[in-house]
Amino acid sequence: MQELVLNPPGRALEGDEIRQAAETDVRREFELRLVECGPLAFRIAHGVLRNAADAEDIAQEALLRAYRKFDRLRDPRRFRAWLVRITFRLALDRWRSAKRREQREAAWSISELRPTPATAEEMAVSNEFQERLARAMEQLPGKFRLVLLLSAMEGYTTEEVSGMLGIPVGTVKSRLFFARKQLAEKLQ
Amino acid sequence: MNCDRARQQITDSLAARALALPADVAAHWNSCVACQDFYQSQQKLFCSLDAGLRTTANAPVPPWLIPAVHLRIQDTVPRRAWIHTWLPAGAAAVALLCAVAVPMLHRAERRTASAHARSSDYPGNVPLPAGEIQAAVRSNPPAAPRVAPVVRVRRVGPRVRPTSADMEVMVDKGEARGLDHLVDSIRQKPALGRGFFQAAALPPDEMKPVPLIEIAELRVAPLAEAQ
Repeated sequence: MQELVLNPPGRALEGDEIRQAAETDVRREFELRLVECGPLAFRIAHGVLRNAADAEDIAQEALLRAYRKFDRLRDPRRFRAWLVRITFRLALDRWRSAKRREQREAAWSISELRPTPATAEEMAVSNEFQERLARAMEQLPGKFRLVLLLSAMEGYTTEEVSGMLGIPVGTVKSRLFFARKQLAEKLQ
Repeated sequence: MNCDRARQQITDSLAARALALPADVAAHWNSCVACQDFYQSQQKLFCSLDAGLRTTANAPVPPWLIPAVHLRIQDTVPRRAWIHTWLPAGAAAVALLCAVAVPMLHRAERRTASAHARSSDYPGNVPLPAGEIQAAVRSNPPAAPRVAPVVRVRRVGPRVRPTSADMEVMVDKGEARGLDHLVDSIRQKPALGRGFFQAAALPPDEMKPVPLIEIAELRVAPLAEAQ
């Protein structure tokens, strides 16, 4: 049996207006997530690039990409995991291209910039340790780096990291273990 | 347990953030001063490693990050609307242009190709002496033009049915040149062409007598009688 639907009195919505309304809804929903996840994107980018300006650039790019494709995201609850992956991939790409450029332009100076070894106590209080830590992290596989960064961020438990990356908690723990062990070996 | 294995276990325990050492390692650690020193140095190393990671991972977020993204989104929105408005119109215009231009280009290309073949492939309309042509035609009447094998080619433009006026036959280059030459000669001297339309005087077919074959054992009889 055919159903009859009565339109409410007044002017019916045109196609453009419907589309605009839908876009407004998408935008409103995205803005909520932007405030929630924007800092996360910045911190991930900063963890990879160690440069605030580059990290901000990458975070903006990742958030814009996420916005452009937000309406295609089937499950909005997965937004954070999605954004983490986008940001990490973009940051890694930027880091690799910067590395290539650096090697091309000043290969000779890299060995001179390499810090001299020091004890752990001395290193802990200096920026030198941060530099060595960053270099050691650069040598880790991407999946280890991401788990290390997310686990080191304030407010994220192992379970949350597991949910964010879509991997089991045991996998997060094992990656964390191998990453920490490799880092310690490199920093000995 | 020796010191090497104990130190390995100590590093693993600290990397796994274990709260306590395994019992056998702890027993060795209690009795070995060198391993106690190693444990302390490793513990400090992991502490500084965690501190360094926290510093890296919790960098202060610039307060203008979210407003900057807002601004970029606002810049993006009108461009998307503009694209949505003009994209269908642009696509339609391009399709129309293609539909008109492709057949025209195809036709012009064919015209150019045929004109080129007629004019530049052989050196001008040089008339041959009429006697030579007549002799050649009599001695060697032209065979049907050999048609090159047809190769199927994917059509780019719409299908155009050829008219009888611009019918084309693919022949060898040398043969085409000869045919063009012949056509020009006939145009100049139409008497030449008459030879092609008159019935040729062929020698009459002669029937050769075939001797009858006789077989002694063979008896020919009607079918009903044979059965």
